[in-house]
Amino acid sequence: MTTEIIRLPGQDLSSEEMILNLGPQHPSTHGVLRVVLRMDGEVITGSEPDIGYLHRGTEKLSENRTYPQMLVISDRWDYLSAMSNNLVWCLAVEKLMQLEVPQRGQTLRIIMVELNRIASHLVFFGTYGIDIGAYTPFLYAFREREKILDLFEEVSGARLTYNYIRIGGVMADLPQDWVGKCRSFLEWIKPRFVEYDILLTENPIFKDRTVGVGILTKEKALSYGVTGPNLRGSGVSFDMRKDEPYSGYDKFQFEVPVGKNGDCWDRYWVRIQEMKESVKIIEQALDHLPEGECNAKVPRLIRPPKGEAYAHLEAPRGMLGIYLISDGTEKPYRVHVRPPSFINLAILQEILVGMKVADVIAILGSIDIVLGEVDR
Amino acid sequence: MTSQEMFSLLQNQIPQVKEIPYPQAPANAPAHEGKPYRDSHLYISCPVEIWKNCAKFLKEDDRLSFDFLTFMTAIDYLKVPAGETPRMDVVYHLFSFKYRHKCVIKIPVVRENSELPSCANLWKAADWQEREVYDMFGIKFEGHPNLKRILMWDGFPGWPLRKDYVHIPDRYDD
Amino acid sequence: MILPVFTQSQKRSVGVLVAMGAIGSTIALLIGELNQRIFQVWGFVSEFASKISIPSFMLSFVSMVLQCSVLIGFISVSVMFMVWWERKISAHMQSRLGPMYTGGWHGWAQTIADAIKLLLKEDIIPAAANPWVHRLAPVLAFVPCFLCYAALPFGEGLISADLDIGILYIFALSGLSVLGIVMAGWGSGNKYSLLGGLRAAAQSVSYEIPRVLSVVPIIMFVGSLKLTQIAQAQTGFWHVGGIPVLPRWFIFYPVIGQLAFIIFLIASVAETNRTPFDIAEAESELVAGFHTEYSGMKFSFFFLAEYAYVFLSSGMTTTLFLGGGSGPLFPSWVWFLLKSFAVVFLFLWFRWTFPRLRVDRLMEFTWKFLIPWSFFNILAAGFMGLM
Repeated sequence: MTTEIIRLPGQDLSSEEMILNLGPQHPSTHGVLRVVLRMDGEVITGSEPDIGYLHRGTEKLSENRTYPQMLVISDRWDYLSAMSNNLVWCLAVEKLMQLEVPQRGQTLRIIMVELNRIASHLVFFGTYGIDIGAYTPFLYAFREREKILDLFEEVSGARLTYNYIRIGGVMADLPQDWVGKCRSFLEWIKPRFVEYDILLTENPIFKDRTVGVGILTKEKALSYGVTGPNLRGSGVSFDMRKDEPYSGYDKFQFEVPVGKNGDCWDRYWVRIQEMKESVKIIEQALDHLPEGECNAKVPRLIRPPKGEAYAHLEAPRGMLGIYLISDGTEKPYRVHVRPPSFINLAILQEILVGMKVADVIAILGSIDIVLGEVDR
Repeated sequence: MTSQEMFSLLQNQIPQVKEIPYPQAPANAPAHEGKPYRDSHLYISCPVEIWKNCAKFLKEDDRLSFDFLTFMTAIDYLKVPAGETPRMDVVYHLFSFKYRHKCVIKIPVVRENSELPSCANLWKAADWQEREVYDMFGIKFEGHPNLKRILMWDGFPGWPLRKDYVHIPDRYDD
Repeated sequence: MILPVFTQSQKRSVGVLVAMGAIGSTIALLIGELNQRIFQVWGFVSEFASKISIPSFMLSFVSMVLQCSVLIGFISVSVMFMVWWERKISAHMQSRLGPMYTGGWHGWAQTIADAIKLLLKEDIIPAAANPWVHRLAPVLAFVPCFLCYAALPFGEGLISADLDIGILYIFALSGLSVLGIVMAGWGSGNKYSLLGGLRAAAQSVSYEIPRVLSVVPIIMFVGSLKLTQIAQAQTGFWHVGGIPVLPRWFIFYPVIGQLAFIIFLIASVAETNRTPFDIAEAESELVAGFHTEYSGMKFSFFFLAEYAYVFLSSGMTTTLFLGGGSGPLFPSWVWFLLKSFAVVFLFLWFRWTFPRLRVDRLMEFTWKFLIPWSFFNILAAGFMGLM
């Protein structure tokens, strides 16, 4: 529900604009984010996000790290979907080195990235429920996520920063009964999506708070460079996995959910549907997992030839890209990360205007940012 | 449109742009260095003075229609091979939703006190990314609505991503 | 078919619960109707008092003090139980366990430990606050609730003050608690607490209307405001061909009873500031709640007041709609407690299932939906009375 701000001619009632600080510490800002809101009563007239609290200077760090060492740093950009970060770095370096990863390695990468997509969207689902006031879906989402993290722990040894996808392939082949465990997890999670739909997606109170709130039009989304579920929620069907397939995605059949209105509910719905599509992709990948080597032959000291490459992929939050410039040595000359959350967050300045204070949390939650990626 | 067509269209309108050719390995390069790599889409070099017109044309022309700014950043070339002056390159990576073609524009600027016209009114995505370039490299963008530091704290001395940046100890260091 | 597999500790817990239920039922049956026992005991006491020549006004004063103490004791124990119960229920709904350690068996002493912790906390009054308003606000939030308990029938004859205007008295005093919330919000000296307090006050005042209006059909049917009479009008069964089919509870009256029950339940949930109507005290909302500046014992007073109101609303629902005390075999106070705690379970269930309503939608809901339907309900009851 937007409200028009009408300035009456004649005597202007000087009403003070109240400034409300949604501070760096707040239960709902999903990290250390500060938003300064200017309000006229209950309606917001302007907002200014203040970021940089989690800036760790990874682009500067990268100039002094070798290419495999950067993998460890890349985990920490979007820490909720570390597999995608690893993969995008490997794609960029493999482009520079003109390296071809064998089929098994590519399929394993896809399985891990899609499992991570489900885990990341589960966190979104749980925390968005808390923002709206439903405390229970959070625990269900994290119960599911625990199973995924158990799978990841078996395969890579870590629960959050996996460092599993390496340059030329993956860290190691799958352990013995991992495929069986993954399949049983997929069987377990499919009825849960039905539960979530009943609990939150079709809940009238939830719909009341998110339908028609924070509408992002197609033109604004394209102009602001928004990508990922936010863009698809506004009606633009653009998914890197379909439009510019990488790592063997063109062999899998899945659909790209597209929303209609661009409001918070559409963005939420796109992510729920994406989880279901990810389950399909993983099943197909497990069915057609090729045998053979999973790693390409990579020299011990990775020294890509001079040049520059830009690789991007569809991370759970949007189009994550790496622009990599190499000068022939073993350390990159310049690394620039194209962070989806950073670019998506810029729309906050515009879609909050005209909204009520009570909607700020709902809108901020629906953009689904991770501060590690916003600040790098 | 292929890269050739795009470039000829652009050059007809704005003759000062130059295409950056695909890099070739120098003649006496050792074999283990391998072939240099660069993505296969169009790379253009544009001088600072005409960047504003160039950007407008790239966005608004019907056959090019670059309505999506994928990213923009800057690169600091402090140590250059003999014969060139140290410079900073501002890179814009553009994408067209209609035609699904890409192009990259590199704008060389001087390292000290450089200024570039801002594209924030053409592509809103440039708003925060230009602030980041200003924050990290010190390149100013004229016409930008809110050119403040975005990642570092206001009043931070120095431009962190420059190659000659030396950290000045401040109250946040122990 | 997949048979469920129970663990040792689950079987043990069920065994403990069944044993507790069995022992509780035998004790309840042995005690019988509580008011008769109380009259017997009081008879002995007054005989003894007249023997040692204590004046009768002294005796009635002692009786008053005893009744107040029993009520406060009951409120405290039931609130402690409800807090523990809420934590356990919410935990099991969220597939976790809840309190398990304090006190041993499933953390039954958790609330006692929490109460002691709150008592030991420092009492902070913010510098910008008005100290007297700040101190008085929790008192004003709790005392009306305690006064209301005096008029609540806990079973047959178990009522402290059997007023002729029972319902009116309870509704009037519940409305007083709004004052406590506004005082808390303003007296904190914090503009966000003030906003939160005003929002809560607007919500409380708006939801009182459908709450009172939904009870009017019941009063029309009974013809009296006396709570014991309303409870008595629900004894017995409707018979179909000699077989008792449905108890004569007002909730089973066609359409009118159900509508009145639903409106009263929703309005009570809103009155007690529970989710889905808890914008006043929500953590993830932008504007801080009215009790942000409160710590220690004063905060626990607000907490206590909220749960006491929850039990009060459940008790009223039981008396008005669920027959309050009528039931076979067990004495009436057992039935009253069982039914009240069933409604309390509903309150707790709502909190952990539904998301929160936005402030303006909340107000729209009452003014544009609940109030018109309660008017319709009164009209329908009038027609039914004509027939």
